[in-house]
Amino acid sequence: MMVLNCHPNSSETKKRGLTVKRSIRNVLLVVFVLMASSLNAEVVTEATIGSGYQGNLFNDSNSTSDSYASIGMGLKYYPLASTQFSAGAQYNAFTSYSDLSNLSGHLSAIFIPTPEASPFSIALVGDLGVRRFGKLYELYDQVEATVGADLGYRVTPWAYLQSSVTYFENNYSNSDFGSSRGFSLVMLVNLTVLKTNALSLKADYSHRSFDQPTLTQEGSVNTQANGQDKSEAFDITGIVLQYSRPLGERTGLNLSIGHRQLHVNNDYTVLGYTIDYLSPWSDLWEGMSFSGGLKHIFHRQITTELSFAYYDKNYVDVMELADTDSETYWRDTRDDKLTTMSLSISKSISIQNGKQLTPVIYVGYRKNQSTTSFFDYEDILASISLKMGF
Amino acid sequence: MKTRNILLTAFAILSLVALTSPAIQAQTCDGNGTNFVDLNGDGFNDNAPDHDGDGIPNGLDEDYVKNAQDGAGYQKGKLGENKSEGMVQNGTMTKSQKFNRLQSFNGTMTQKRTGAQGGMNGSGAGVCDGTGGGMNGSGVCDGTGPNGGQKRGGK
Repeated sequence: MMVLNCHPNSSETKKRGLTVKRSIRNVLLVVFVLMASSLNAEVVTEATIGSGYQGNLFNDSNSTSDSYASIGMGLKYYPLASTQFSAGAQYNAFTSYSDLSNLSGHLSAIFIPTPEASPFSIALVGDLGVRRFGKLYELYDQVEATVGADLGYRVTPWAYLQSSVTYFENNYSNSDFGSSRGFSLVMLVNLTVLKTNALSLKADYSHRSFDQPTLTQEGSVNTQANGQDKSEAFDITGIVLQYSRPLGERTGLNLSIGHRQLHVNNDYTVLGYTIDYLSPWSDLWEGMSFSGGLKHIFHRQITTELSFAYYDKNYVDVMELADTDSETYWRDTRDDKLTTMSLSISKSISIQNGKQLTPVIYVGYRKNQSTTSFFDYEDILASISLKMGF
Repeated sequence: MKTRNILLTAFAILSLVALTSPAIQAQTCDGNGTNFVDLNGDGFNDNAPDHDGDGIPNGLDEDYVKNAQDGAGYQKGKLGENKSEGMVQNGTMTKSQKFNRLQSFNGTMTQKRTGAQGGMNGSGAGVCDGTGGGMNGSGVCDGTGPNGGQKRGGK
């Protein structure tokens, strides 16, 4: 048999040979077309390597910590000055929690057909992203797609209006629940007052529908018996006022205050076992927040960014299992107050032909106080990375 | 509540300091007399040219070396020597530089849309939870939060 299969006159070998030839021809054709179109195009590639430590991986009182290493590659392709195609991938490897290691990738396209001189601008954007975890966390594998359009109009040199519309779909490919889809609308007004004070007011509206398990009258969850699930829709609105200005020649300041509001029924609940950390529902909260930041550019291209933020997050109610062997659920409320602070230091180093190296050091601290004691936690983050553009 | 009060007080003091402190010419002018604009909210003028795209305006970028075709362009650390710098820049910029410039004029929304997934400061673990620099966004994660951590092209 082996001899026959390897015989040059064997029909199967011929077919296989033809298929291989066709494949090679097709690949060469694609490469040729890309090379031809690349004659006038520009390609920018980036690579990032890094390592870090996270003091509280799961955002809870268990304070599980781990270190990680990451490597990433990105490619941006500019066939025209108005068009950018980009692709990138990053792998993050955790030391102790290996299944938390994840591979993410994205493809995106941005087209801005309006000229720079025009007061009116349009941008069309499409983005596709995937993320894969290890076996223990494969429930959180995601595929995300976004398409949108931004419209901008510079009314005067000191007044700019922008609006955007986006359709998005987020699919948890290994889970029956949590996938969502919807659209968002954003309106923004940016004004420059008294020479160097920038004021920005952003209002947004988002409509989302989530795949949810069916809850019976008694409040128990029946997901496996009949596989019933349903899609629940709700709205979120938000408003943010941001102020920014330079403080001297080398420093920039920004301050913002905002509020987001969930528009859900009073009896709306989500499954508790996923409300934290990687949960699809982790942003289902409403409340006030404010933040500030200082960016300073030191001599020798060293840039530092210091920021703080405070959030008063009132989550939607959670259904929790009474105990692991039970099918009885109980309902809980959760109100968190999260404070965050961070500092990043980076240095831009130009090497030959416009190529750049950028080492970045990041440290961060978070403290969360919750009405549910399990979610009282503190977290320290530290990372160092090197970004290379070539 | 105590933390909130402290932060609110700090917020108010910073606002007061900001409104009363002077800004210096380097950030108010791009060499062409263009007005101050800050769409990305970092406190720096978006109109200030940044030839090498490192996020540091040419006037503050000691590493910036003028393009050989640039004639009497910007020199190290000196701002505004070349009054026609904007025109020269357009003539010598690469496609990626032109695109980044278009994108910055287009505002930050477009820049923040793509690459939303990222991970907690690079670890890739975590999802968009509505917090972070973008704050209060009701829509898709804009990549600016603690699980974004990615810096893209601009300043």
